[in-house]
Amino acid sequence: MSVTFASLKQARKLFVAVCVLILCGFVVSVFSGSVLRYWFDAGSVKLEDFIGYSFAALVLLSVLIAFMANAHVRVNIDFSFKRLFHSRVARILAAFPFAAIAYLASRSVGFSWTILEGSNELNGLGGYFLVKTLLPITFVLIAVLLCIGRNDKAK
Amino acid sequence: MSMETILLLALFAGVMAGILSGARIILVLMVVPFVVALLGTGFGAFDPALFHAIPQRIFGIMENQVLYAIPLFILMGKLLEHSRLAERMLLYMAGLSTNEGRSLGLAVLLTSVIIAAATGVIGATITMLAAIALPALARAGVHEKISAGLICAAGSLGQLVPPSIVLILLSDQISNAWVLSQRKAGNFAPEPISIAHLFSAAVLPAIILAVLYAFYLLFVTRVESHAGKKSDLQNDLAQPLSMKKREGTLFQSLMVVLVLVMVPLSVIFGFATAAEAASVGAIGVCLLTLADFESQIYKKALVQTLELTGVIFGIIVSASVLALVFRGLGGDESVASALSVIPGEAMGALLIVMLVIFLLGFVIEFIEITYIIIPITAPVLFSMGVDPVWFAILVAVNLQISFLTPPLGIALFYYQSVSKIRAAMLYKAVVPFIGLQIFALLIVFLFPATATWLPSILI
Repeated sequence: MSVTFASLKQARKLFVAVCVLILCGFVVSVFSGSVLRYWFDAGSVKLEDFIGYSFAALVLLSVLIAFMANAHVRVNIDFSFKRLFHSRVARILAAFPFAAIAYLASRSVGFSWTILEGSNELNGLGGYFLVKTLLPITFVLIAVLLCIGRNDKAK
Repeated sequence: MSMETILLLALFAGVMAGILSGARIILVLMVVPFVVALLGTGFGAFDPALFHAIPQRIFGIMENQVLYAIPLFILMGKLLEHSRLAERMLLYMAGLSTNEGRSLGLAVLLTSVIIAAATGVIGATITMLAAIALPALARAGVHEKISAGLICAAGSLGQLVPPSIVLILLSDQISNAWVLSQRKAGNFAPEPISIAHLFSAAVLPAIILAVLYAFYLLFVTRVESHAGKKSDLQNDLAQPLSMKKREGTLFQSLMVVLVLVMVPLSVIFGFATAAEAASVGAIGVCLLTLADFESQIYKKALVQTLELTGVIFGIIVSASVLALVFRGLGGDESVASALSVIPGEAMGALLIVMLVIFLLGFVIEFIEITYIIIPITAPVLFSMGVDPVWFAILVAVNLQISFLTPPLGIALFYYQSVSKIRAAMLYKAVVPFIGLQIFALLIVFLFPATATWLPSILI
């Protein structure tokens, strides 16, 4: 069991490191785009696409990171009905919309895979279908986290 | 009562109960609308085809270029916080002031507004101010109640001073609502409302609020000079900074102020998009902090940027589900008809919306208010002739109040986390500042030019 938790911890660290790299890539690419535009009067469609893709990935992955870190906003006032919302059944019910949205998104993502969707621009960056795939993956992971009851207690 | 109305009421009640239950807001805003939509489908009141629009909405958020600036501004703030540059700025400014309560109070007010605007993160500013400025203010004879109120109010004011995350999020929602209302009116190419409009419009109201706080401070603080304690206090504040460090801090502080001024100005004058300006700000602050290079600073700043970004995007994503279900149940038409019967037409409706935002500010946070209330009410108000920029600034000033109103004023939470003040005393401490914020809101309401004049001459 301890090996499993250690592996999970390692996987989480690796995941955060990948997200940090994406964030750094996003910051540097937006800055590079600005420098190219204002100092060299130049631009790159591929760079613009990279900015868009890394931002899109950040939107989803950061939500998952906040979820894992139990950072999402909550209101802490004591009400008698609070327990209702923190039961195991409530958590599993809460997982349902995430799983359903993941399923709904998978249809659109599946279509993206069939056409290997890339940039809207000519000479743009390919691989947008991979970024879109993050939506069902993220939502399934959130649903799983809810079901196994990790981080469900208020801070 | 129609089934749609019953479901809308259930949606409202469910969201409020869920929020007050202490569950994560992202879950409440995702689960309650989803369940209500399923019930609506069962009763034939909700078109099930709309479920397929949910992923498309999320893809839309992932492609929304207005939101690019959010992680960049957060990173800028987190770097300032963890490098302790903002802290040293405060120490330096406080060290320059005299030991007299008024002067130190004003120095704290000015520095905290600068730091709050630069960090853009209320929690960071308030905890820092409480840890550093509070003891100094106490020794300078400023009553704890005034200090507490000042720190909470000044720390929150950064959310009105551009570049501010509140304004970026508002501009996203206001521009969407503006386009929607204009399309309904048959105008398919409306003048866009951009971040630049909101950045420039917020300048005067922010100055009004800062001046009101300053006058209040001058009025209530003691005038005694505490001449005997002067050197003690200045030593106390300046001690952590060696001469070399002080010179470095002066240079770094000036550069931070320069970045802070240049970032919004470049957006207002159209030289750069908000994301470009924010990236220059983030890289600039990163370079400034290189002098005290510690890998932990960057690690913490990057990880916390991801977490805070996730909190904001989590609410944006889930609120988009709420907005879709609300529209699917005909909620926008219900709100439009409800607002249209309010006496006083546009002004009456605007007052009611402001009152609702004010009351919601007691129980929910500014991001939820922005993403729940604005999409529901703004298109209706704009159709009635309310100026979008003026409305946005009224909301931004109103949200200032929500940072200070108990039980969920976020500034109060952060202040309490670093001080031993009793909750009752803290609530009393912020009352005069809430009064000043309401007064500022009234000024902007009665004189719309305070918000609309600068954008009209600058953009």
